[in-house]
Amino acid sequence: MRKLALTDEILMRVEKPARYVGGELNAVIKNKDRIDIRFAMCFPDVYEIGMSYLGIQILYDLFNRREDTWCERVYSPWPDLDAIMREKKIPLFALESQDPLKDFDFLGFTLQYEMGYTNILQVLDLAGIPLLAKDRAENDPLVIGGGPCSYNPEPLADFFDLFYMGEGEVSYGELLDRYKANKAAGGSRMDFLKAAAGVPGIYVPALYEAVYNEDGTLAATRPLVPEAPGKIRRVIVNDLDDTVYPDKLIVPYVRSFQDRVTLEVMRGCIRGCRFCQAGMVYRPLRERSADWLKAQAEKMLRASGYDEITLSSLSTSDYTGLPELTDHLIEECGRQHINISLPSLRIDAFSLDVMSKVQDVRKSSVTFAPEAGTQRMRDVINKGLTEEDIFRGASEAFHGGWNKVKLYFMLGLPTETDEDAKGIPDLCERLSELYFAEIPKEERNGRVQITASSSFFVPKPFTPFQWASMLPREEYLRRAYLVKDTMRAQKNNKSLHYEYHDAEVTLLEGILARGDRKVAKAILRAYELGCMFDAWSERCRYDLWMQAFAESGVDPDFYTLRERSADEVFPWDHIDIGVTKAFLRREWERAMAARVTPNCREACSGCGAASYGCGICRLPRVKTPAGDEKSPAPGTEGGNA
Amino acid sequence: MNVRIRFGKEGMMRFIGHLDVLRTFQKIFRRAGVPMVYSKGYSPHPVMSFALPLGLGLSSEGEYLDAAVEDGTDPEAMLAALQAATAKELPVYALRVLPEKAENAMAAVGGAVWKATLPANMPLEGAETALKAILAREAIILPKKTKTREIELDIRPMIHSAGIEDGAVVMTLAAGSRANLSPDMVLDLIAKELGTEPESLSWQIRRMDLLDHELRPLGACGEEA
Ligand code: SF4
Ligand code: SF4
Repeated sequence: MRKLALTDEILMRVEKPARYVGGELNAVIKNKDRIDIRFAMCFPDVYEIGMSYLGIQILYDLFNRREDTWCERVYSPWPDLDAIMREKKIPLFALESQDPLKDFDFLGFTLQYEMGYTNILQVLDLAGIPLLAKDRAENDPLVIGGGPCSYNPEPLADFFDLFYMGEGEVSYGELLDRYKANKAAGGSRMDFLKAAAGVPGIYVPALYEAVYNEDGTLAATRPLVPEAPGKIRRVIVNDLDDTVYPDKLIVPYVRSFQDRVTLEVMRGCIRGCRFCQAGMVYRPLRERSADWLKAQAEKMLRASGYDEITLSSLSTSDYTGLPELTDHLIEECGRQHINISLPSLRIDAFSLDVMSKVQDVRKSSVTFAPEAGTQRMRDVINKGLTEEDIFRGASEAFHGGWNKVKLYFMLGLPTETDEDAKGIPDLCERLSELYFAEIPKEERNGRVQITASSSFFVPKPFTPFQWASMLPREEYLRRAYLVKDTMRAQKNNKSLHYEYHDAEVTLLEGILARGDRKVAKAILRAYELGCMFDAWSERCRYDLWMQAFAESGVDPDFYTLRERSADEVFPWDHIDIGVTKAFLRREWERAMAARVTPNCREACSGCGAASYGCGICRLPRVKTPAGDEKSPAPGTEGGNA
Repeated sequence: MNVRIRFGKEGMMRFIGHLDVLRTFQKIFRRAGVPMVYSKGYSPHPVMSFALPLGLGLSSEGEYLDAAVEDGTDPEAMLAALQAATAKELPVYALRVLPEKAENAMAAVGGAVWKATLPANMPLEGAETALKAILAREAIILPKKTKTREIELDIRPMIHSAGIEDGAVVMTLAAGSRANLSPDMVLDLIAKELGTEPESLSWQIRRMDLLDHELRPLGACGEEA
């Protein structure tokens, strides 16, 4: 029997002890005496959230296919256990072996959202690993970060030994080989870090220095040693059908947020919404073939025993094999009592037909993400969804029996006016009128329900809006109240609901997203003051964060309330994600002129990602480039270099 | 066709609540490729039920689950498939096809066999004497809280047998919906008899088996695979 790291007495005292005992179906156990590399993979949030994230399962599978490597998992202990571990000085452990993290060679973090940063420090601290990379000893685990937030690694640079830029399938093999070789040759930690810096996609922050201008802006991020490349280029998989994919998902015993098989149908997105980081940093769009997915679905369902499957991607409606795949799944799964849960598809005749086959129309709702209330604003953000699309989709949905509509918006977008904000209730009102106009009284099944929710826009690195200023807290709230009050004043207000996200968390996220190395001090201080689980809005302590900024001499307004000049050097400029800064700037200017840019399927806009030579960039175009500006041919800009 | 499987809970599995174990068994049946029978209605679910939930933290080698399966003609193969599909710490020991009119596991439970390993700080003879004294009583009246008031309850008839074996208290107690006695109640009596605080003792409690109303193992019903 595996020995557990926590005693029965402790496990009986904490909420959901299953979070800490491992032993799930398909979890991998190896003989540690026959292993060269022990890798602990962490999602710095509570177990049920972390287990829902497919990326870790892909890496877990990838690493464990290597005979010399044992990859295990670790998540953030919930505050109840956190307190016990501190009091009793119990070191944090990995789930599979229940061994302390300090015994591992690597501790990897996936960085999915900025508000999880203090949880990284929690995990390091509980593990007894020095929080600052420079304080770590030869034998401490190497701390490596990856995932979307690592594309601006600078606010976390002090805490990490390495960052991995891109898709794990590409360079981890070489990184681990170099680690083994260095160990065999008796090399030091620094020897390895220098060797690692030469692996494509690997960034070793200690080998660079940040130089600042007098006004506090960045002058440059400079390599300190010849081994460190001037730019670190994101690595990606060219052909997704050629990658390994976990046949045997780890199946948690406690219900996780994604209690089902997740099938990744493609990576990247063709759309280029200007606020969206994922739309830029995962370019170009690469699809998996429907045949590959069908075979994979069967293997994964069988090996996990799940009774539900879902499709995952940034924009599943754009997947060209969707009709074929859904037809197949509906037929196969129906026979085996397996549910299909569809991510929010763009609402049209096709998706409504599919939805009516897999869910209860009376209970489900249709979802739109117009992101902004007026067409002008949607043109600024390059959201391709037009008013006509929304009304046509809603009309079809109403006729199909749906009467619940959800709409997602953002407030605080660049150039947004009060008219744009008021466009949100206006759109909702007109949708409710559409329902009353189109559906005769006797066919209505209860009242139509239109729910709008808004988050506040956060400018992210590597987006056309990376130059944008944010707004003061009061202004965010004023705009939310404006929407709320206008919503109440509508004729059909009983059918309309509005909810908005927190303004304080938005501002914190904004600071961390575009922060530089100086911000690390504030993150550390916030953690020392007790900040943890900041992504759980009811736990986020804005007051403590503000205290941390003040005590560490970091001015939040410098990061939030400042529109960057065209030539400002960004903390992430030494990272090359494939999309060029010149393209992003061009997109910023088009945004200011409210001009839309075609999506990758309509025309190539020469973003730079064609330099990878794969995916959509290599496919023939359906249309010639739209717009009056001449778009460069694919590939001519070849990365940031 | 209904089958009854006997399974155990070891190690980490002790910390998985019974609803999660039920969901896990649904997955194990799927992994094993054993087609289950589904309930009717808008959201059909596999027809499956436990005999009696086990408290969190306790281990067991005598848990039962009834499941409706489409095809019970080869119980041996079904057992082997389930054993291959389950987790190490959730062992499946046996499977029987239930007779047409068998009572479901939950209704059938009348007793449970428990084994509580003596705490290190409890002398064997002391425990033996204490247990004898307890069993010699004609009635053991304990206060019992119900939803609305406190009543007095005689638990003596609920202790079918108890003795010391291999450094452990082994006892057969009433269990199920009609009368149910938790092993802690008996262990606390032993502590009191010895003049010790029950909280200062840590017993390791394991459920050995579940019995029907005639005190026959629940697993004795039907044909063995
Ligand atoms: S559709 Fe737009 S918002 Fe969605 S992932 Fe693509 S670029 Fe981002
Ligand atoms: S190079 Fe062209 S086709 Fe390729 S991702 Fe960029 S805009 Fe799209």
